Amino acid sequence: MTEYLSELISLLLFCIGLYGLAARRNIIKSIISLGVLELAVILFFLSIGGDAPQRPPIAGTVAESAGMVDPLPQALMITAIVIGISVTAVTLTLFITMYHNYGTTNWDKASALNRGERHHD
Amino acid sequence: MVETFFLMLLLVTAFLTIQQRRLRTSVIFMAVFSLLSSVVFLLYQAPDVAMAEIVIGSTLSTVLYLVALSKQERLSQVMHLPKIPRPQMRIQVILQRLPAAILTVLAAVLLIWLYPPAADLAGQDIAADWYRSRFQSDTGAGNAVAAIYLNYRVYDTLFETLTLLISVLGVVHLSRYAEEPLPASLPVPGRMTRNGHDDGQIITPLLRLLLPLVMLTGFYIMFYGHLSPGGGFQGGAILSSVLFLRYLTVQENDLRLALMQKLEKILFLLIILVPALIVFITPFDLSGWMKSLYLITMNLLIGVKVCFGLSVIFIRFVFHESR
Repeated sequence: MTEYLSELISLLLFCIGLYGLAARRNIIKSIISLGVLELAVILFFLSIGGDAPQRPPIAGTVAESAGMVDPLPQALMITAIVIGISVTAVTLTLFITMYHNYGTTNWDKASALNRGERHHD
Repeated sequence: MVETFFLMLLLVTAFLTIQQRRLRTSVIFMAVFSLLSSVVFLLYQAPDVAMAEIVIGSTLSTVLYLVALSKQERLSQVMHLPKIPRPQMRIQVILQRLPAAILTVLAAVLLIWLYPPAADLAGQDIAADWYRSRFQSDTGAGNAVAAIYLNYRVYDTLFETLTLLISVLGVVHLSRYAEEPLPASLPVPGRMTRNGHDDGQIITPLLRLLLPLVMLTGFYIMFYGHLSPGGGFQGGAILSSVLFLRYLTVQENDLRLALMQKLEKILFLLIILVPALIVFITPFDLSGWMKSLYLITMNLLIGVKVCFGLSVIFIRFVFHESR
């Protein structure tokens, strides 16, 4: 059990983010939950197969590459972080637009208002 | 031991982030969560990812959240919305969240029950050995992560920069400049030096001292990204944090956004063209110094592009109203 500790923790973090998305009705809360989900995925990728004593994937002047961690997940996760902030920026802008139109931070109230508008048309 | 401690802290801060009722507190908990997770990334021997997370995830996105919250507050004053009292019916709220909680617990149990057999597959790291044994002679990089995202898997980087460009276009499309000036009595987000506060006395000179150092750090991280931890994305994020800092003190919107957007698109074209030209013109192995030159050029282009992209997002976000 202990050898998979980091993987288990990242799965639990993923579930916490999932709970935030499912249970909270506040739009900003949903965006924050998305951020927690994203960090859980990053942690999962980085912790796969990271049990043995290893060193970072930087050779520097040393010519040998023994004991380096797998560099591929790290390269992918840098991509994930940059895309994460793009998603945050766009979703926050969408939130401000929505707040401007509906005047609420609650998903339910916003969709109720939306349905009401449709009905009047 | 240290690892276990930080992992437990991560769980606690994530739970507090989700459960916090006040949004600002929740955002700060999110920043702490992100900071702690970057420490964990460092413990997992991933300095590049830790650096990206600490600059982008923990700092820049927290500033974005806080600006969004103060914008929302200001909008609610401009629109004269009634102050909604906090819901007092705790039992009803708990009942509302119960199904989600039960489903999440079920999902967690299922995931943890399913996980270990899949983990056994991770032991065969053929691709990792291939990268580890070849990256220095293939790409001339000292940093295996830079070798992957600038050479082996450069497609990832192209589409990542494209994603950032698209999100910039999205933010620009969804926000427009406020035609009518907002009433002066309302608090404008972060405006310190104009409405009576005296913070400028200390912060402005300090910032003048700090800005060149921050810029130097950003360029160092870009130029040495292929040899040491760092690279274009981290360096670009640090450079754009210079503009964030400048906004927090000077409050002037005197940057030429249109020019920055145009430059960002040109830089994106260059980021596509440089690898394509190298592939088509010299299909054989480059010599040693040319490999390094390619890596430095790409890191520099990516860094400046990311800096422009994040800055345009931030400035549009702060100074422009929603559509």
